[in-house]
Amino acid sequence: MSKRVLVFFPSKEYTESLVPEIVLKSGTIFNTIKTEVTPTQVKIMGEIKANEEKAQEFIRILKRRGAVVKELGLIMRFDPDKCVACGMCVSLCPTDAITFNKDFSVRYDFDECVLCMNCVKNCPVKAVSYLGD
Amino acid sequence: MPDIRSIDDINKRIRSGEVVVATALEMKEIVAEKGAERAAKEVDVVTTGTFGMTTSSGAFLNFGHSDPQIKMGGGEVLLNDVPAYAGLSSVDTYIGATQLSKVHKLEYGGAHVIEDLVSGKSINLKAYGSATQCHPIKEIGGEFTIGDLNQAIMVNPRSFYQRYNAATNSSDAPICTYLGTLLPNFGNVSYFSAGSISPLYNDPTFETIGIGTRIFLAGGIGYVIGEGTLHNPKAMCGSLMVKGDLKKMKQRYLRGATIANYGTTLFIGAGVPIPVLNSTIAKNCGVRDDDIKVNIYDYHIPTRVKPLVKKTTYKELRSGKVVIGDRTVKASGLSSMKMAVEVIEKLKGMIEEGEFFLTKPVERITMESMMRPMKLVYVKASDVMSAPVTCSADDSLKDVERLMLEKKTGYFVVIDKQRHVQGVLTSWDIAKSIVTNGTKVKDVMTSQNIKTSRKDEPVEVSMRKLEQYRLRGLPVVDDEGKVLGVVRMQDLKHKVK
Repeated sequence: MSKRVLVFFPSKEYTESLVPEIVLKSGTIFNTIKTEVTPTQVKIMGEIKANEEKAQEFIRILKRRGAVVKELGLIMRFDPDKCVACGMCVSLCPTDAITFNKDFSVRYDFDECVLCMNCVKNCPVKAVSYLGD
Repeated sequence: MPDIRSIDDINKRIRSGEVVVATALEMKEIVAEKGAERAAKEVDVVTTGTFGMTTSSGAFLNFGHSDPQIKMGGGEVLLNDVPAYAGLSSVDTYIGATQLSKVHKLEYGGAHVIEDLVSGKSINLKAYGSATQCHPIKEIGGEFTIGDLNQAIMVNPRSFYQRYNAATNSSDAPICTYLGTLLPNFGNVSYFSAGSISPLYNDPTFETIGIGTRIFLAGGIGYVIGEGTLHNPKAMCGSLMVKGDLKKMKQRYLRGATIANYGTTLFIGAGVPIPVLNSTIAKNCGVRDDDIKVNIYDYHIPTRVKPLVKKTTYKELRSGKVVIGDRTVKASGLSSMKMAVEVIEKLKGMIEEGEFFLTKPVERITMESMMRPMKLVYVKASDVMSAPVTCSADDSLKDVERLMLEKKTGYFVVIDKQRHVQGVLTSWDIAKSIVTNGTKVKDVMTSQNIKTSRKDEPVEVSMRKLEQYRLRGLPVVDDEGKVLGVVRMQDLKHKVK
């Protein structure tokens, strides 16, 4: 069980020990996949390794410490009605987030996504979009 | 093989509701299980289909005469800011799938205009013509929908193209091609075609598909009107020209698409019924993905002839994983299997319900192949190159500096005894030697990732390399990698028009 999230901390709230501290306190594993630091904010993309209940608890703690948390499943949108299942995104995906179902339709699992944006940039019919930031 | 039924027999059975139709997928199982003889006895019709990017596609539109009349022919026609062909009569035009919007460029093209027409959206028309006695107005503008047109007829010069190459990319940067983005270092493999359910693989000798064959075209009815462009049946690369009434088409089977950084194209779902007149036709319909060979080419070479990376089959491509060297690479097709299956099932349903009857071709499709490269003389790298100033890796920098002043050049090709390129030395490298205290050419020359031009490479390709990698020059090499000359930006500026 895992849940991928984008965590935005305002720079003034953030210290390097902040996330490890929360991990230790909650006892929930959080893998940092990507960190982006700008003068105003720190953007962390990571994976909460826990069941839904524990993951939500972890998100609550992050929020209490001043973070804005967005679940990847909510900021990446795949519209199966627009999709023609051409499969272009499948081979461009660096992870296993995009695969074919048995009936050749395309399946997105945003808990495997690393936000590389290959699918968003390349979809011929704009069936997948990014709503984050 | 003697025919066991005729197209008239099949149509009688469609009328009486007894017809037995199998989709191409089902037919493969029937032929494998029972053999071609029994399959031919049991099945009347096989439905085949594709849902793929049909780049050579478009539609003729007739607007009806305005009052007062305008002569668009010879002028300019814009549909949602996408230019349409204006070389026809006063109110006829042809909108092609790949034409880009003057405003939105890659985001919107002729293919999107056609999709918007089919979905009933309102389209903006701007047209400019020259005023004549009987056509006094010079320009016209306004909104229309497909219902306002007298005729909207899709005519696609190349449909059902049987076989495309598969593509991959060996270079260290992503490239954007008509097969989509190809990731660096063999990052992915991209291909077209619905493989063994595609019509022309099931009737490779055009036994049943001919001029006048009624087909399912984007949700409506269409007809084969001849062989298509690039028709090359001898190499299993047949193609068909088709037409259909755009007004009857459905958006589900017709979608405008943008290939990132490349252009626009039209996804079209189309199906062809194959009447099983004898057991040879049944046997042909038993073709499977592992029978169909495909070559994977390296598309980072922009010339027409590309290096072959691997020979494979549709079965391996369709599995989603292709082995190249010691790596497993993800592969995906730009032809939708899901929608192609929907097309063949839909067509099967239409025939079973008595909504679709088969036609006997009025003429056969030619088996002659016409597929030659464009015959134009182009300027090659070797035509514009200048003599190379060379040195060897063991030369001292002092000597080279002297040579530099003598020859008035800042660009040297470093070669070995066999004249193979070992590196490049520029005045910038020499400048570096002042700091790094190098004394020999090999201490400061650039020897990694040297870009070169082949001698018969078009200069446009060399020019692109110079711009892309910001190089001062490119050594021109022969087939064995020996230096023949150097192409520099200044040579190109002088010699290329």
